[in-house]
Formats: sequence, C-alpha cells, structure tokens
Amino acid sequence: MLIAAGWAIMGNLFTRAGLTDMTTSIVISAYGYIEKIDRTTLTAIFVNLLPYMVFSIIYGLYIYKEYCNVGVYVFSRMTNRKSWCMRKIGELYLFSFVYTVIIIVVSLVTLVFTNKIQYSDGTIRLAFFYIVNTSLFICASALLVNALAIMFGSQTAVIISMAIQIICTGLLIFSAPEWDEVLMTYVMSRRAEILLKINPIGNLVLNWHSDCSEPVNQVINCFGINYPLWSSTVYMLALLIIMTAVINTAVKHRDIIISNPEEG
Amino acid sequence: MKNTITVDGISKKIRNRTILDNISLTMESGNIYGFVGHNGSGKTMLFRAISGLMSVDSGSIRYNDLEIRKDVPVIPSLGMTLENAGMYSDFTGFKNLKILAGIKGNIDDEQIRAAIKRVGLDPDDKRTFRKYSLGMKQRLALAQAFMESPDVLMLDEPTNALDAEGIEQIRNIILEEKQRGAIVLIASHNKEDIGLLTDYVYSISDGQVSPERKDKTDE
Repeated sequence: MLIAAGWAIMGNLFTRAGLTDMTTSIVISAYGYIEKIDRTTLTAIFVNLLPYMVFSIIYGLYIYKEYCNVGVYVFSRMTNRKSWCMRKIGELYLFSFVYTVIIIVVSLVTLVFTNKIQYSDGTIRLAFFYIVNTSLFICASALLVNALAIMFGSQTAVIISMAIQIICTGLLIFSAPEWDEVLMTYVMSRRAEILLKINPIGNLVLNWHSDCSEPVNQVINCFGINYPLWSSTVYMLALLIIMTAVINTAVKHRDIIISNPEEG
Repeated sequence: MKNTITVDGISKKIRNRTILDNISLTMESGNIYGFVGHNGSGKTMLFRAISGLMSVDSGSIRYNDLEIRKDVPVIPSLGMTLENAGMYSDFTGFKNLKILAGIKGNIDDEQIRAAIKRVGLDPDDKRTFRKYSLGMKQRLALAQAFMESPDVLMLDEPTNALDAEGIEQIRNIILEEKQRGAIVLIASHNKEDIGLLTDYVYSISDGQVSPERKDKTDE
C-alpha cells in the first residue's frame, strides 16, 4: 500500500506538479493519459503499468506461498480446497481494490497541494470505472502469477506474467490510428480497433474509451470510436473469472509438493 | 471401532523417476508403524500419497470403506507433520494453531492451549513463528498434528531438531496417542525412535517397501 501511495506522489511530482487548470476528471483519466499510440506513448503506458506490475509480483505469490507453506496443514484438514481458494481470491481482490483506490486518492490529494485543481462533472463516474477496471485487471494478473507459480514455480511465473504484459503493451502499436489523406485526420481502421479492444492493456487506458455520459465522453474518447467503458469492465470481469477457474483447477489438481519434490 | 488404512499396489512416477513402486500395506488402530530409509528413498512421498495430498499413478488407498481421492480428498481425521512445511510466519504459535483449528472447528481455545503446553511450548508466547527456533517450530508442528486427537497421525522425522528432553516428551506423547487408538505412522532416520516406539517397521528403498524385523532396527 505504501508502494501505491509513493508511486502516486512521485508520479505527480515528476509529471504534473506546476501544471495549472487541471480538472479532477483529467487527473483520473490521465492515469491512462495516452491520447495517441506511438513508441513514446507506449513507453508512457509501460511506466503507468509499473506500480501494477509491482503489485502482481508482490501479491502474485500470495496464494502460492500459503499453498506451498502451510498448505499441507490446511489441506490435510480440508475436504474442499475450492472454498479456501475462493476466500483467498476474495482477499486478493480486496487488496487490489484498496491498492487502486490509494493510487487515485493520493494522486488527487497531492495535486491539490501542487496544482490548481477544479472539480468537474463526471469525475465520480470516471473514477468508478478506473478503480473497477484496474482493480479487476491487477487481481487477474496476480492470480495468473499464483496459478503459474503453483504449476511451474515462482520464478517462471513472474517471468511469464511480466512478459505477457510487456508483449501486450508492445502489440498496442498495431492499434495505432493511421493518417487519412482524404479526411485529413487520424482514423482507426476496423482491424486496429479490434486489436485494441482485445488487448488487456488497451482496456486499461480510459482515454481511448467512449461513454454515454457527455461530461465523461468529452474528457476521454480521443479516437472517436465506439468503445464503452463498461465493455472493458465486462472484459476485465471475464478475465478475472477465467483466472479464478485456472487457479481453482491448479489448487485442486496439483499435488502438494512443497519446495523439493524429491526429498524424504 | 477399529480403523484401517489399506494401501493396495500404489505407484508414482515424477519426471520419469519411480518414487513409489507397487506398494501394498495394511495399518490398523492402536499401532505405530515405522518407515526407515535413506534420503530420497520415498518416505515423505509415501506419507503424501497415503494422506491423499498427492495423487498416485496406479493402485488405491482406502481408509475403512472410503477410497482416498475418490470418496474423500484426504484421510478424514488426519494429523500430520512434513519436513519443510511451514506456518504463517507473522503469527504467534497460538494464532497459527487457532487458524488451523478453525478449519474443522471441533476444538476450542483451551484445547489449543493444552496442545501447545503438551509439546512444551508456552501458549502465551508473543513471538511470531518467524522468530521461533528450529526446535520450537518442530514442537509447534507436532502440536498442530496432535491437537484435534485425529484417528491417523503421520509424523515425518518427529524428533528432528529437538533436545534430549524434547525427544523424551514427544516419544511419550506418541505412545499416548497409540494408547488412545490412533494409527501412527513415523518416518525417521533415528533408529532409537524406531526401536522404542514402533510395532512394525518397514524399510523403503528406491520406492519399494519391505517389512523389516523389529530386532534388526533395535541393534
């Protein structure tokens, strides 16, 4: 949690301190503050992802460590591993939610001291989608690390999970809008739009979405495409459900083999 | 009622290496069964398989009329210690046992405290598990195995890291558990433990189990 707060403070001091005339909506949307897609913005996306990657490394071993450590004593008393697993997933989601809330709240509070901030319509709605979508995503990615750790070991799990996130960030380059000579503007092709919508990292960037609320839509929707914020909520929820099924299967079927399967 | 564990021709391979090779055993209430063998012989793996914590490639394990991992995932009334298994490092011994006892909910705080005292630890010790010595960790692991008076006890190297007084104390508890009617399985390098405590001794080598004459281990 200290990491979340520290990241929000440092991020603000280095990138936004001194900027004037900011609205609360812009501050929140700015957590995915990318208005176009090129190599520079991909780097910015990656930097924005870092605190969440840190979360998935720290909490990525949350279930795994208990599974391997005290798991023998827990499961020798338990006839239903699923209920244990679901309780752990619930705890993990709570941590994901609090972590995301801390980043957004600390960010807003620090900017009150360093910048001139005005409350704007749509802030609550935008904050809601930011917190829900991001917390679902980081919980799903932490579950992925836990499941991979149970199956292949912790080091492999962290490497695979980080690689997936980095590759997904890199793949966003194929979603970049192209310059249209006739319309004299950037236009996103159908293929690029689909690639954007299926990319989990793309689903995190609020600015690329659209919304039925006009004050929110004015702050985001920089590509002018139909990409409702709630569709990313559904996407992230589906991701979390898939990861829940994966880790339940791993915990149920994987033998309890502590650190070294050959000892004894 | 007499409880029985029947192991029928179980085999297990891990990464193409045979860990358990066609093992058959029958174990009954009120007896202590000792398993001896060198490191890597398969003692711990056998405990994991019999308990239900690890699957087997072939054969079956039955506890009375229940087939383990088919009718029930693990032996229903089981207390076990395994080498290298840990506890919640940031909690005290009492809190650790309270969490584990909460899974079944069949003992109260006083019984948990009694189990901790029984192995020679202080239930009011405020130190976290992380700060426990090796011997204290071993005693706490044994306390969690004994605390719910299970019908089956599987103890992997139960006297490891204990001082002479601790060894004596744990041996007495194991014998009390036998008197209570538990099926007790002990894996140990310690020939004295095996000689003093067990009724039947099995030797494990390359995943195969063979009965050993008791007097041979007493030597």
